[in-house]
Amino acid sequence: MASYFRQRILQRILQVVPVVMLAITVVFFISRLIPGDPARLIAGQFADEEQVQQIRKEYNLDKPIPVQYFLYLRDTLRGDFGTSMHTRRPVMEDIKKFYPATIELGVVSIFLVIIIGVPLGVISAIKKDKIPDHFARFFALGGVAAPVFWVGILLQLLLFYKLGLLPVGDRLSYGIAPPQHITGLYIIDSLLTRNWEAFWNAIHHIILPAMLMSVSSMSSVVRQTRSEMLNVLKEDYVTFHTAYGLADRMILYKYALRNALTPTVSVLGLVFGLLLSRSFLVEAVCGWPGIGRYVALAVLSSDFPAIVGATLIIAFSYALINLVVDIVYMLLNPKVRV
Amino acid sequence: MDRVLPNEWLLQVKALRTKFYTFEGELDAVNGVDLEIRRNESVGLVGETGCGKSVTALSIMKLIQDPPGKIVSGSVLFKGEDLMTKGTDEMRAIRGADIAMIFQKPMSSLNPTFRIGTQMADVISLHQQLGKKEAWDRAIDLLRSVRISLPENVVKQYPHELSGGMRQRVMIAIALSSNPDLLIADEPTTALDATIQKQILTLIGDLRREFGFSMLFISHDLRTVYNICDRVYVMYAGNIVEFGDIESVFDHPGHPYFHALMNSLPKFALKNDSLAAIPGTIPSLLNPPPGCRFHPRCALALERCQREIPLLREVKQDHWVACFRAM
Amino acid sequence: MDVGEAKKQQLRYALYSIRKSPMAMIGIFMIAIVVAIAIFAPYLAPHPDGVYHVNIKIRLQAPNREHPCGTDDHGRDILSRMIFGSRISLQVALIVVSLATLMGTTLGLVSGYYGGMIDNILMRITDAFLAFPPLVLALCIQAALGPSVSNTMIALSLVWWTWYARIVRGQVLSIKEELYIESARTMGVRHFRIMFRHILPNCVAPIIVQGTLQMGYAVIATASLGFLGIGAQEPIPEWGLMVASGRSFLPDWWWISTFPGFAIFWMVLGFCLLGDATRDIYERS
Repeated sequence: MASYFRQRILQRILQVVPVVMLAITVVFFISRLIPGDPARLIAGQFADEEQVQQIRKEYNLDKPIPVQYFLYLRDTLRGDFGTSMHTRRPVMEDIKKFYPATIELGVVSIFLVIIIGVPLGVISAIKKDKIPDHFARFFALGGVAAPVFWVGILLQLLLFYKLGLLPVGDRLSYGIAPPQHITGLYIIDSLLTRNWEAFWNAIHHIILPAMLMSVSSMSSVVRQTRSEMLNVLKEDYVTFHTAYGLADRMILYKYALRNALTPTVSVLGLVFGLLLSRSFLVEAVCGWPGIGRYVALAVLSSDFPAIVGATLIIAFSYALINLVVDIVYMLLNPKVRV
Repeated sequence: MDRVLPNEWLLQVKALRTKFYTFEGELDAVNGVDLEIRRNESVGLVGETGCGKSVTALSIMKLIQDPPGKIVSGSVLFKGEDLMTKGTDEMRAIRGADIAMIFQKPMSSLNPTFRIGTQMADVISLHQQLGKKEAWDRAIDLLRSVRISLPENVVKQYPHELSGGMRQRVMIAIALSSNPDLLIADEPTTALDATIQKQILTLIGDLRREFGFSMLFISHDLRTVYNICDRVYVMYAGNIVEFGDIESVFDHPGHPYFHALMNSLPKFALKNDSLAAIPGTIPSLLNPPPGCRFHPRCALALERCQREIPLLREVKQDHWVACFRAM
Repeated sequence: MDVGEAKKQQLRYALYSIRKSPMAMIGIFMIAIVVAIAIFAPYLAPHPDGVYHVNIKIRLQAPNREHPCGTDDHGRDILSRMIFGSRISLQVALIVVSLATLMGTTLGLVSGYYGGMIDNILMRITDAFLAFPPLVLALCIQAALGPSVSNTMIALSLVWWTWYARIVRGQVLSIKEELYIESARTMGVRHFRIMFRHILPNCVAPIIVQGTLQMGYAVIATASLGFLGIGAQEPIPEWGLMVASGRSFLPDWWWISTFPGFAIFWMVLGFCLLGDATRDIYERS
């Protein structure tokens, strides 16, 4: 790998730091935006004056703002987000408990987005302006426009209540123990430990939320694949492949697709972001015990330590994902490779 | 498709018409073209950029993208069978096997994200039913026959790692991989430097002698065409305006357009005539002038030229001109 | 052809393309219906006073002729609530997009024009905001401000102005380069005026594209926050809130959640169709 290339990757990695610092700062400012007494809010309306004072001391709310900021920064970088109001546990512990569920959901959803979205984009490009094109674009747009929570409810009505095909709530059915903890992702863990009962059960539970997530986030992948494919199909080498009698399918799925996919990778970062923010709604509707649902519950009880902690973790993850996507893109780009 | 035909015609294009339907209107790119190539013959197709040469070639191979283009009428008899009546699968069997085409820009004609070997092997195994290993070996042999050194290495490289000349050799290798009867070369040397141009042309000439294929050589470089072709067709704004034996056409151009063109080249300038550029510009194919399409720029235009389209008539032995005032 | 003429022709071509695009026309149609409903709400709603008035006797009625979309658990007519809810969604969307556009354009102009420290600071701030996935930051702000529709508007505007700032700043920078190359000797005042005359017309198109799409996103965001319980609060007939309130009544009284959700879908789809089509047109030019 050329050293210039290595330099660029390093640069990209370093970019993450100031962005993360700024994100932390922004969240700090927001959490101090609250009108009224934050200590009282955290303590709850039934706490007496003494308890409120205690809270104030505990959260350093009695100190001047710059000091607060510094302490907050220190704590954040140590991973200490305080204690959650609604679970009464350290926020970090909650996050560690719930995050794997969201990751698992996210991974399965991205997988579905690619498996469904890319072919849709390809078909759209081939049959440009004809019925399949309009249908695919409408489907993708509909996925974005239809409110996730509403579609979730409809799917539940159909697949759970009416047909009883898919379960609602939680990652495993009541009575089935989670597999041995290796990654925290039930599907992988049960596969690795050959725990077939848990494996199928976990899949059974993840289908509905994953379908929901993926359909609502597919649009940008479909659009990007379509437009890249359209560009590629105009290229001279496609004429060349046709001029030598290669079958259409081979031209499309072998030769054209590789060229079209590389720029599509850059869209994946956005898709991840969308998935992360959708997680609040999807997990709330489906009862999926991930970070999204954790935040949804925290928000209802004004549980600020939890909200702050979870938000920051989500922001960090997003920055990390974007970093990885950018690096992968740089690696795939043939012009940069050699 | 190996019948030996009585009249030795390999390719007969009759009344070919190709149009493009665009946002601005209908474009008459190929407006009734007749063209014939015998076995083992090298035919040139010349004309300015935009006169329809490439579209003619693409039409012969039915490579016109529909939309926006469409081959409206005409027939293309290849070894006695009309390609226009053939279905997609039949055409696919012919393309790359019986008729092969090489293009102007070898860089953009090769897929940048695949190795040379992969691209060659796919074509080879398709038309010759070879397995992967045999196809790659054959690819290496072919690269050797187009005089690429160290073909075992080249076969593993990507297009952008090769020079322009090498890429064109690769294209020629692919074109000849199935021993085609006809090679269509669309401006194969225009995008290369002068020295490389010579090399490639020499290579093509040698390969023709070795393999015995016919060639349709498309170019706007008259000098090159004169050197390597036996017969020539001159195109202007979608029509064939003159064709025939190359010596006869080049030494005594009958059509005013070609005559003027010849004059604008130092080597071919007729004695005592000064170099003169042809006034005016190529007509828009959206709204071509009525009658003879050259008449607005023609010094010899008659009133008749504005109304009637002149047909090709044989003014000398194997020398046809489409003009009422053939010189 | 001077800039004005060129822009006018571009506009004419853009409008022509919109008319030719079926998706755009369907989108416009869908939006027009919602706007009409919002404007004529009191006349269209079958039970205008049923929007807030609680009537236990008729609670949880299935869709029937009196109440085409049924009634909720407070006995309120769902269709009427939906119709009045359109006003809320439309208002929020308009205000949010207007505020975001205003703030973003101003800051983008200032940042691009003056450059230097101001530009740097602003860019870092937008980077920070964009470091969060969509909705996450808005959720945070809303949680901090408190649950209400107006706080939703503030939260969304505070997060979304960044898009416009970037677009406008980009335009400013590209024009600035051209100008500095051309007229090194021109006075500062002349610069300023020329920039405005050149920048703003160039910005209009991408802002309109972004704005249309964001109208749709605003509706979804409002509904999402309402659904989570931190946006609009009872008894306001906000669509997301209505869907959430119907959750405890699934599956037997399914209509409480189903119909308002469809209204959200309709409105957002309209904006998305139009926005997508205009985006295509803009990218093609």
